[in-house]
Amino acid sequence: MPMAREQIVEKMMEILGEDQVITDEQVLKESSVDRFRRFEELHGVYTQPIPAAVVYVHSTAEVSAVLKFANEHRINVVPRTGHSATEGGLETAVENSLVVDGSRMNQIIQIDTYNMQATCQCGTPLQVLEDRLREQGYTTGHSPQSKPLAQMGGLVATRSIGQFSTLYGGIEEMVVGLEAVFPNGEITRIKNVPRRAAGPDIRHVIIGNEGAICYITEVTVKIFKFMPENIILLGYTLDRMKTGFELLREVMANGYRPSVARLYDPEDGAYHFSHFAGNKCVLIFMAEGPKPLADATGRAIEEIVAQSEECQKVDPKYIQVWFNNLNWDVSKVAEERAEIVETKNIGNTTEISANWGIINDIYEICVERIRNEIPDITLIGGHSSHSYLNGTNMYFVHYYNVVDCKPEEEITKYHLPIKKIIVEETIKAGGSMCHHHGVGKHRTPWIKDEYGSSYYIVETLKKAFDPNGIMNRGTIFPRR
Amino acid sequence: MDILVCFKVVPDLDQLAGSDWFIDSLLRVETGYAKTILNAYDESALEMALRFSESAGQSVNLTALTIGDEKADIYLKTLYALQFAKAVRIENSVEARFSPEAVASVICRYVELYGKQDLLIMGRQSGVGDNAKTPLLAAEMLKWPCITQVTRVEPGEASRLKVTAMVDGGLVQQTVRTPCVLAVGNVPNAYLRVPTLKEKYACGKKEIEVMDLEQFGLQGIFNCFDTGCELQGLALIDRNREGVIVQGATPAEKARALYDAYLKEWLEQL
Amino acid sequence: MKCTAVLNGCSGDFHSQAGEVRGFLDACPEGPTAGNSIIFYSNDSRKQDLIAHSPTSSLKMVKVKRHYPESALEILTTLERDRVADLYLFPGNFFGSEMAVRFAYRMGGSSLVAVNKLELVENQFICYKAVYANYLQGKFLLRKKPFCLSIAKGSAAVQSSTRKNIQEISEVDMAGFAKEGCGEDYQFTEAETGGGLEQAQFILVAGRGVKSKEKAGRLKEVAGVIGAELGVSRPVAMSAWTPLHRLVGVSGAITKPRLCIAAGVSGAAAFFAGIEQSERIIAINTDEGAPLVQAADVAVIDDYEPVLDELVKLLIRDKKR
Repeated sequence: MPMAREQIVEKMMEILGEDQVITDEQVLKESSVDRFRRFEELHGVYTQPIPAAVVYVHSTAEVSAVLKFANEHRINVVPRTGHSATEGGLETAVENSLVVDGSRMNQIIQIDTYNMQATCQCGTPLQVLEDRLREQGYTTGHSPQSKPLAQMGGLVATRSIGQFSTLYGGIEEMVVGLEAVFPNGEITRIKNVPRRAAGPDIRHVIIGNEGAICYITEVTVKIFKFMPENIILLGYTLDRMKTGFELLREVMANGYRPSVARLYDPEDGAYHFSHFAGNKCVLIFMAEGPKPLADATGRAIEEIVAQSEECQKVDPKYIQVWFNNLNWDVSKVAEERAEIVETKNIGNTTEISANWGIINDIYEICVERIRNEIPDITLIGGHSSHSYLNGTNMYFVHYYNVVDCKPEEEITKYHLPIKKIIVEETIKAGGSMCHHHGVGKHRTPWIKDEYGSSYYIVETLKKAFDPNGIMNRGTIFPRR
Repeated sequence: MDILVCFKVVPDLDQLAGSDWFIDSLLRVETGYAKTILNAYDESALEMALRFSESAGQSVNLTALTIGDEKADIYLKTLYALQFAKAVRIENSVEARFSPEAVASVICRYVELYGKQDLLIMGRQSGVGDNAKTPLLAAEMLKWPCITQVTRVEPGEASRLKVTAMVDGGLVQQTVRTPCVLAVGNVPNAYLRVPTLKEKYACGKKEIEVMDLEQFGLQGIFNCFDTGCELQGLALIDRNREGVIVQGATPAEKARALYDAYLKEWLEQL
Repeated sequence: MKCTAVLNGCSGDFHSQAGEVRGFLDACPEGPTAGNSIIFYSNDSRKQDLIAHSPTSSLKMVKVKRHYPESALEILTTLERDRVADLYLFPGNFFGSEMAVRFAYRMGGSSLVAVNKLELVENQFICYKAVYANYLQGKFLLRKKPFCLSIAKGSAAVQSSTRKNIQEISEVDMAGFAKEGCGEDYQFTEAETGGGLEQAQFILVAGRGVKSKEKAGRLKEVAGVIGAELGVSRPVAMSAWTPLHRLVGVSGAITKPRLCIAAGVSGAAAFFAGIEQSERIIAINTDEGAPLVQAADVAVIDDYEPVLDELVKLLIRDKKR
């Protein structure tokens, strides 16, 4: 017999106190979705089961108590911090879920500039941590577009990546240790050391778990010296994406580590770059770090790109102004909402990764198929924004007019068919269907194809740590 | 009914930080680093024309006109895809920021030579000059009546228009005869719609009509037009104050700090 | 240099037009001397009040059926065909900014809209106005007389004193005159007033950080509780989340409160022009780098909602004491 909604709320108030348990209807509705369903939400339509309550936890002990209770009573828990997820990871897929919000656990516990690491609670906004570090001449090196909104727990839980990843790495390379609570209430801490070889690296059970295995309460990340005075920006226009991928590969394969290495196709670039690039592709690099290193990296990249006759260098000031205006913030999100309601034109993104040998083919076939197969498309394009020694990512950007359908049908008529094309083509070619937004709830149909035979490992993790299946049902692992 | 909508592509000046502003000795300001956008009032004007065209039973012929360089072409292409019958760009790369008289002259010459336009719609003001004069001067030059601060236009009977406009202290609705000039003001929710790729492809081959000022007998107008009003200086407006940042661990703590240290006293002084 | 002010006595904002003209002229002592005022009016019962508030002691009352720009222009051009003034000054409202430009064209003069300052330097006539979306101040030399200017909204300290020494009143009745314009019927609806944003002592302004109509509604409540008038930035008003009359900035109200709380406002220059004359500005913004934070006296870096909620609690607590 599942517990009644009122009882759950009552119990939560007992555990946490009334102030920390929110049952306001509008809050609950907004907490049943994330950005994936924002078209519905903008029209005031909520199709997901409304959670029983949003509960604010203030300490690891409270998280433990809440999880233990939920586990005993088989109540679905959706962990949340900054609420900037894009893939449905925060949707409350089953009745009477509890959204466990860690955004009030927002203390920066220690900034240790000697050992080059910073420890903070899960609800610390990345922007706050970054600003604090910058005051002292340091940086996290992590700068996703959601930086002004996202918080540390969520960033680690979704394997976030930032705009400077080609130098600093994704969040998985930044996290040195963490604290997490498992469904049975067990509090676990992984210590902060430079490296270890004492068995498998268990940080990775936690990083990227998307709230489907445990609740992250504290994170320690590396910090880096911040030397903005040494930054070198380079921008080029070129005709073909294929050339751009080749140049990105040349830079990476020859051992250079620019902080930013991005390649835009003309469709995706038009909004940002048409004032200087016209209808061309745009290739962007940023070199940073200690001056001798930044200078050498910048020079080498210039030499590599110079070998291609296709590339025209542009005034770096264009790139600077664009970069200063790149991030989301609350205001941009709000303005976008008004425009979507009025024009019925909505955009989403799907990010994948693949080795150098196949990335251009994936890019071409996805764009081609979406253009031909999906109705009412107004823009399909993309960019590569994170490069590695063996390959790169592709960030597809897709916009469409929502025509002749109810707000709640937008996903099935447009968004999911687009995702299906990109995911299936990527997996077929041998790439990964998720580069940095996480699986969420809408890429689960392909999770077994993504993992292949190694699905055994990840499935066993889930069964072992969350035997009752109370953690963020329907996320990463498909609902049975 | 033939409608001419005039628009301008402008730099998004809000993209520029304080240090990005540089005024040279000839009073030129480099704004080219900012991305381009449609002037907000003109965007409303374009969408207004499309809505009018949809609701008019009779056939409406829409022409979009801009003066400038090829940066405007992607916008003109978009307008073709949105069913503008004609998209015209009058080539000009000479600074015209403080020459609304010259701009209005060019628009009028276009109307005289090529248009049998019934209606001229454009935004009431545009960057970077912020002159707020072009539609008024166009009306004067054409000797057409002008309605300013327009927020809505609908088809009326017998090729008349029902126009809603803001006036000081209120709103006016009136039925008007054409020809006339409508200067578009603050219109809520007037984002320009977005064409689909199919609509874009369908018009992909349609050429933008690029004209030059010589065709109008107006070559050099932007160099020599005497507006009677000469720019003598430009200076960045400094708006900075102290900007003391209130500290606190939580929003509530910050609010209390703000209240105790400043707000309480300031409110008492009111 | 002699100056003629042209005002619209048909509209409800006459007092602020007159005060604005007075204040503007007072602010430039080296500038023109006010000679004459031309006041359009339609309602006889208001006539004495209009005369009493005239910005100049010499004035001409022009009776019209109602304010209609096409007719007013025609009448003004006829009245002034033997131009006596070199400078015509118009208020900063819709009426003034339209008339200045069209009248200048008909008189063969030069015009500028939204002038915030003028100077006479060695017989040269210099005007200043904001350009580049209010980021820059432009300085212009006017050469073709007559000079026709409209005042930048809010740039003049409004002087509202009634005049006791009216010396010269002439009257013209043009009520029978109707310019064959384009309008056939004319229906005026008085706007819901903004509760006097421009007169308010304490305002709460909200920007793009407001995410929905509901949140805008909540802000209205908060403003009510703390005793502030609510204003919003262009994106909020253009999304129809509040009535348009709450719009603050170059395209809306130019406020001059003693205290302004700006919540979730990034501070684009065109918006900031609407609050920059506040004696004190408190910014609440998530982004420390937002221009408004530097343009404020005090700033709180956070979401505006919990901060305002707490402020409301504190204010209610102190009111009860």
